[in-house]
Amino acid sequence: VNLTAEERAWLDGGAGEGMRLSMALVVRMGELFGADRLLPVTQAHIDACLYTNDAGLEFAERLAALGTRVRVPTTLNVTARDIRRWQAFRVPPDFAEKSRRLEAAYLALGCLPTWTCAPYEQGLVPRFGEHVAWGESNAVAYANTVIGARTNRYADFLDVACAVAGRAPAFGLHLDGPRRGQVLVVLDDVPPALREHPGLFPVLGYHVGALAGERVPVIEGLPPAVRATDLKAFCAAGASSGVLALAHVVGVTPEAPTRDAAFGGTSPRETLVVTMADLRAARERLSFGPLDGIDLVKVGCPHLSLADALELAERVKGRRVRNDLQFWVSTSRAVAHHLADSGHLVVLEASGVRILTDTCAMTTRIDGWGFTHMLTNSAKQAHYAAAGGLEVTLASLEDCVAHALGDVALEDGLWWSA
Amino acid sequence: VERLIAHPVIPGRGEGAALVSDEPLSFWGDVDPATGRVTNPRHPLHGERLEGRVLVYPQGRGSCTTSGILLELIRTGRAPAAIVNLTVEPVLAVGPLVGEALYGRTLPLVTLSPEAFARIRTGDWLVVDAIGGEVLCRQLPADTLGSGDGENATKPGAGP
Repeated sequence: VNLTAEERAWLDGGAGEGMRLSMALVVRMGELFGADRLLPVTQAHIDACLYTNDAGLEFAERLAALGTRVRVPTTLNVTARDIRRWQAFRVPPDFAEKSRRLEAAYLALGCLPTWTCAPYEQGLVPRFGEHVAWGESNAVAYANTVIGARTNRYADFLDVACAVAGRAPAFGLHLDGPRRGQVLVVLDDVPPALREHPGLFPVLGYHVGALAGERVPVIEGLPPAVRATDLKAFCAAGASSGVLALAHVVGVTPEAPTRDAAFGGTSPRETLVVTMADLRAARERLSFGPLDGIDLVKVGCPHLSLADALELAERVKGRRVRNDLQFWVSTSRAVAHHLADSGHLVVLEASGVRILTDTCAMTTRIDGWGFTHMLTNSAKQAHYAAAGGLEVTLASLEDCVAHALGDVALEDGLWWSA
Repeated sequence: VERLIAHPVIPGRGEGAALVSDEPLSFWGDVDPATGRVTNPRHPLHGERLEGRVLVYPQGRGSCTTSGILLELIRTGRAPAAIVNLTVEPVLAVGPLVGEALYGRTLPLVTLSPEAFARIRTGDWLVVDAIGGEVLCRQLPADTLGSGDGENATKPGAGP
């Protein structure tokens, strides 16, 4: 890896031990994955701020004790508790304390307290073509796919190192070649109504993510007016079942005005045909058990957008969540702030919806609730909740709300009548 | 003993009984950092302990926090003895690199060709040389194949 004189000095310890450690990691990754140089990044998003164990805490506190500071504007992903209301969410005090220490360490590094897994919706939103160093698998996939910003999947600690160095090794999705499409994904017998339905996207993403592996998929056959929230659900799902970091959707995403553009003039190595049978199977992997016994309805994975929150407030206005379940919405404190200022938060809370900020149901501790069966509109949420031992059922946002309010859910027809 | 040509990713040497999955694995979500066991009830390796085994799976999936979980396993000595993949995703490499810097302990990582990968069964004894670039595979005698619990393979006497 060729370094500038300044970068060499950082690596040699001229800018302190924290910078030396960070540069060592950045350069080593560059060596392992064939980078010939480092690229300046304009911003970073750190995933390592989520408390999961003491090794991560030792790493952060060590950097903080060394007086290390991030060199570029840096946002923080979800933490392991609702910082202001963790007691109301039954988080054990010793766990909350560990989380508090980790939060403090990253704030000491100079990071911004955004506490959200959807950093692309407010705050430091990159523009097309901008090199950034982002952690959080869904955010990486969204930044590359929907915005056309350039980032690899920055693992915990490497995200921090890149933020401190303000550099990322030049390989992978920072470069033109690896961003080209590699496999063509065509939708076979998927009916037009389903192609526009929000219920499709988490399931399609989950299927494509597993199928594509490390290859960049190019998806044909989705309507040009796909909503951002649906692409968000697609990206999060693909980054759960697989390692999806970039997908091109022909006629929709910025690097794919046409199929040829998406493949950069090359030919697809393979064409994958997605049938209704595939999608039903993927949906069944995420959704099992009958609808009864649902004790948690959870939406906002990734964090609910302001647009979706407004739609939700409209839906629940004057209604009441049934009393045999909890209805949780996880979102950023920025969105919660807008909801509070605009009077929508009162509407949501009056109907019995609980707003969980800074974290979500799979990154905080929910064992104090004894939940057994979660209904969610997110494939990512369903995937990890099932991994954590919960029963899960996947449905669209509309049907999640309908169930929570005690109305009848309608969606299944779309999936089975085709 | 079969000699498989490997591509070293993180240098080092490690040996142990193979624990093989055809499904991808995310350390975050699939593995409990406190015990080093696969806790996802829907993963084929559910219940298996990773410590001291050579973990063989095609590739990673999911979360960027895989490195965080792997670092904790390295810190507490509950990490696999080595990892063998078809393709190593950069996310996986970060845990061992930070482990080296923070705790002076690493975790050798290699990739194999699909043909070599397919030779390995749970319980085979693997010697992973992620410096020279080879994996020595002593296959479990045929009559014990499919005898179920891979956990037995880590008990004394099962190795070479």
